[in-house]
Order: sequence, then structure tokens, then C-alpha cells
Amino acid sequence: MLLRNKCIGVAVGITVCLSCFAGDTSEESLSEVRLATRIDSILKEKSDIFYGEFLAAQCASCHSKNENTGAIPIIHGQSKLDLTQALLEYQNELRTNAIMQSIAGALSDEDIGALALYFSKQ
Amino acid sequence: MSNFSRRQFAKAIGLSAAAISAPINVIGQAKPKVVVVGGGAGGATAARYTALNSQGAVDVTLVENSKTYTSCFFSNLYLGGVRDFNSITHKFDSLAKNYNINVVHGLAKTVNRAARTIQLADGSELDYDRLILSPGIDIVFDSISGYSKEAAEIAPHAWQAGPQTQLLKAKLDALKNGDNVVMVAPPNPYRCPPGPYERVSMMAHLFKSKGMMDSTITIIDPKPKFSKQGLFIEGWQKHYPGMIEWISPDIHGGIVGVDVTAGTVETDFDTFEGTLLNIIPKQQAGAIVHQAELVNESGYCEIDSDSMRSVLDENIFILGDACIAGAMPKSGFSANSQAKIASMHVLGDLINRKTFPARYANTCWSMIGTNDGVKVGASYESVDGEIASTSTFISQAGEDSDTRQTTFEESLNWYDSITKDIFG
Repeated sequence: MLLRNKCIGVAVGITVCLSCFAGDTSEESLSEVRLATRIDSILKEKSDIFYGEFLAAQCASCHSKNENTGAIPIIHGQSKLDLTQALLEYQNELRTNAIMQSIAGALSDEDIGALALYFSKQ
Repeated sequence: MSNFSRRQFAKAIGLSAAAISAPINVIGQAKPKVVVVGGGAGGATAARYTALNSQGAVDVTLVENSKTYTSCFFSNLYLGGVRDFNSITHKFDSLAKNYNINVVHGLAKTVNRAARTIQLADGSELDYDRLILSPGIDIVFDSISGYSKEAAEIAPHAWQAGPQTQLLKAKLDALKNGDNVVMVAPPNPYRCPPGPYERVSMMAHLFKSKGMMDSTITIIDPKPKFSKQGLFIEGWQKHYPGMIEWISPDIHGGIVGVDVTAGTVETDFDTFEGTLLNIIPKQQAGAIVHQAELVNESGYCEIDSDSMRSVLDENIFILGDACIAGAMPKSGFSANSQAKIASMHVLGDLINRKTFPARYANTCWSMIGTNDGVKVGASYESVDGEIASTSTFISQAGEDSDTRQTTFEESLNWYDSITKDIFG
């Protein structure tokens, strides 16, 4: 997995600076920076929990609140950061599930923020 | 009909905007009434979400003829001996107890659209402010010469889950090594596009598990291609070499008719003989939407893609297999997804609950063999008056066994989740 640091939102400034000074412009580090910047930007925006609730209804076909212990994880109660990061990683095909890549691919930053807010409150 | 709102709808059918501008609960004193017909993936979900999100502000009645619901999805796994019948059969108790839904077991026969009432077979009547119809499909028995409701007792269709599924299972279980099955697959559009092909996979799985390696399955298909075709054909060659033969219309030339007593399917090319026939005919929307004159010439119902509202009646929403849902296939998942959008608009109409631009989703998983699952699906939005896919995916040929096992395990989790989402 590309992003191992769950505190990436906090670490983003440092990552950018270190990359610049080190002259590290590898594709991987640029992707990390872009992703971290988007996570940061989504987390800073005020999200609409009612919009999140609306979008989340479609997730409930697969993601159950209490029952799942196998291939489909429980996403209720996860942190907004983790949820945002996971959706962006699916969108950028850094996580491999084809369904989630497709679903995340159809989400805007506003959608992701609203979903992450809603599920983090469950 | 892009962004087709209630106001635009009223304009289109000649009502004044003022007549529909106030929510129902302001006009009348009693709680607004929502009646849902059909307790399957569409109807039960719609009833549950409407009751849940209205927080007691509307009365929700669910009308379903059966005391239990057996899902068509996963019924092939039952045929293959992978699931038992109880595990795909669900009760309505939780909807009644935990969501305060009035569950009425009866057959909804007619709709009086002018009076906003529905009539049940026992003579009782229910009135509604908004009606959600999710009647599923009816089998068009006479679309195949020689087939009938009576013939289905000998050569089951098993495309409406329940006794027909159990009948087909009993007949499959009674076959001996060397016996063969002939399936007639349905023409488009029909419930569950990959379903017939998952079914033959599960039949072959059953034969293989019982050592019946001389038994075969022949599919006589009116369609020149089918859902997940490459994945199924690859899987059949891998798991069941020589056991499954698919015959396209350019080979058989057309299905002439069946003789269920003789166990034959006649085509232009040849007559195929089966120890067991599984005849899956053409389908159409359930009877009540025909009676209510909500169908077009296709036998299905046109809906507003933003809301699932009938284009012919602003008080009626139509879900699932009975509606024409653009790029969405007829599946339990689709019906479940559409139900949430319809419910949102019902509550928008009745109690002014906020509505958002529609988003839909579907995934169809199919089990080809042990721990070998494949999937196809998409996200959808309303685009220029049609439900259009905005993002799609499909399993790839030649995937490794870990990926296929994960996909199969996903489908098991999905079944548990969606049935909780439907029935509470």
C-alpha cells in the first residue's frame, strides 16, 4: 500500500518540503503528494452529513454495520481520515478491489467528504 | 426528461403547480399514507427506508402475497447444493416489529389511480398518497409453444424463486449419471442477465460433486451473446470440460416449441432431448402494472430516471424488474438501489424531506465453481432523462484463484448485507 502513514494529513507539508529539497520527483512520491494534498483538502472542507447519509444508502447494500467479518469490511465508525484515504486510494487504483475502484471513480471530492463524515459518525 | 421534477411533471400532465406545491401533511390532518406492493428486493427496501427515514411521520403498508420471501439471487447456489433453502428465505417480521410497517399478506390485484386506492384479491382496499409498485416479473408462458403454467410443473422455469426452485432442485437431485438437462434461456430483457449461465454452472457443479461426469447440460439460447460470456465459457472449460454446451441462435436457427411430456425442445436445426427440461420463457412486468395501465408496448414501465416515478402517474413509483431502468440490469441489487431513490422522493413529496440528484449502483456476482466467483457492475446517474452508467467494472479472464476466491467471499458477505438492508 502506498500510503502507510495514517497521519498523512498532518504530514503533508513535511512530505512536500522534503521531496523538493531532496529533488525527489519520482512518480511514486508525486502521487503520494497529490493524494495527501487531496486528503488534506477534503478534510478541510465542511461536508454535508445529510448528503453523506443519502450517498451512504447505496453502500448499505454491501457494507453492513454489524455483521460482516469477511471480504467486505465494516466501514461504520472508521475515522474520516481513514475513509477519505481509502476512497482516494481506490479512485487512484492504489487499492485493488474492482468494485470499489469503480464506485470511488464515480465520486467527487464533495461526495467523498460527505461519505467519510457520515460513516465516521456511525 | 432531464431533471424531471414534480413541478415539471405537473406541467406536463396539465396540473397547476400550486395544486402540488404544498406537502400532503399540510393539506390533510392524518398522516400521509404510503403503500408498497411487492415484498422483494425493491418493495421491502422501499418500505423499510420510507418508514426509517420518516421517523413515524408517514404510515407505511407493505402488501405481499407470500408469508416469506425466497430470493432469486443465490437460488442457483441452492440448486448447486452450496446453500440450503432456508438460507435464501426471509421473513417480514423485522419490518413489522422494528419499523412499524403494516405488513399485509394478500394479493394486490388492481389500482384505482383516480381514487388513489388499491384493491386486494380478498376484496379489501387500501388508500394511498404515494404508491410504490415493485411487482417483479411475470412469466409469459405462451411465448414458447407447448409451454404453460401446468407444463412448468414438469419442466420448471424456477425464475420466480420459491416452490418452482424447490421443484427444479428435486428434479436435479433425482437425475442419475448420464442423464442430461436442456435449458431454454430467456430473450432480453429478463430478470438477472447472468442468471441462466450461473445456473448451468451450478447444475454442473452438482453433477461433478456427485461424480456424474457423464451428465451434460445444453443451453438453447434465443440470444447471440450473453452476460459475462467470456468468463463463463472460460470457467466451464476449466471446471466442467465437455459438460456444458451453449447453442446460439445462428446454430439452432430459432426455438420452435417444447414438448415437456416427451422432454424435447424443437428448433429449426434439430430437436433436443433432455431427461430434465428447464424452460425460462420471455418475461414482462408483474400483472398489477398492466392492470393499472402503467406499461408501454414493451410490457415494462417507463420511469423518470431522477426519481423512479412513473412517467404516467406522479403518485406512483415503479421499481426493479417491472421498470425500464436504462443501463441498469434487472437484478435484486438494482431494485434495492432504486428503492432508496424512490423512497427519498416519496418523503420529499409527503414531508418535504430533502432530496438529492439520484445515484444508483449494481453488482451481479456469479458463482462458476468452488471458490470461483466473478462479478460485473456499475455506478449510475440520471443523464439526459436516462439512467446511465458512469463507471463500470467486470472480472477479468484468467484471474488468479485468490482473486476469484475473494470475489466469491464478497458475494457471501454481500448476500448477508443486502438481505439485512432489505428486510431489516
